[in-house]
Amino acid sequence: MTSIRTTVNSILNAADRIFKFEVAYAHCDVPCGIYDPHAAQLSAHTVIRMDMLIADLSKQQNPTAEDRNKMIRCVQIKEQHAEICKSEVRIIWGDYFKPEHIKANPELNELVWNIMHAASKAKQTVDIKNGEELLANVNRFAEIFWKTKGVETKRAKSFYPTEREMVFPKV
Amino acid sequence: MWPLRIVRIADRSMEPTIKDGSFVLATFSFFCIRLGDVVLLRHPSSEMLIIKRVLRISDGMVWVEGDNNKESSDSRKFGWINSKYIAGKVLMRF
Repeated sequence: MTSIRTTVNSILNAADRIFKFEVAYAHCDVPCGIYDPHAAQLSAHTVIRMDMLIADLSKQQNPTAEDRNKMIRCVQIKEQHAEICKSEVRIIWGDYFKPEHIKANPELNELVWNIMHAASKAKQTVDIKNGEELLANVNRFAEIFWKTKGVETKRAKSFYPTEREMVFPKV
Repeated sequence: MWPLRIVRIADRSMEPTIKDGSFVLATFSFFCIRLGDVVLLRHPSSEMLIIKRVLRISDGMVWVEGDNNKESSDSRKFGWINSKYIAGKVLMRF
């Protein structure tokens, strides 16, 4: 029986090279255990920075083709980073946080919901207040994340041109 | 559409039952899933085709786990899933 199975497996391997059978993954992802809200924080800062640049460009009385090009690129980057922010938060929320974390931090689900909505609003508008709201929620999310790992955090002004606050783990 | 399909298995969470790199013969749909069945299903969020064993069934929801608990990401992580995500039942392995 084993030799028959081995033979069939060999035939199927050869057939797979031609027909490319569908693949089923035993894992749905790699449980690498590497999670960090830093990417979400960077993205939120990027959204704010794009709002700042867009505000500057909007002041141009007679925008050149170069100005218009820059404006379009800023909007595109703002869109991309708001989406990156949502994705990063979703992954930590869905893959890292466990029921005991939610129980210990009852604000967490609503906070994630607020981040999703703030990021969407930041995409829809060029009002810097929406970017700031996104960052405030993401910073709080970062604090909760590090708390669940038993790591203290501190809030400090970032070194980015946004000059907004950032949550840093005390390591 | 063929009633059956051959699917290649990538990764180890169904070992030792189904080894990495082996093939399974599976149905395209299912009529009656029983406890202990090995099924193909679409991951609830990524839509990726995955393979797991049904360990519990309740009100149209199923609880699935890999046989290799140490290397499986399954209902212990994503919880109960609707049986509509089941994409077929495994009939044979090679």
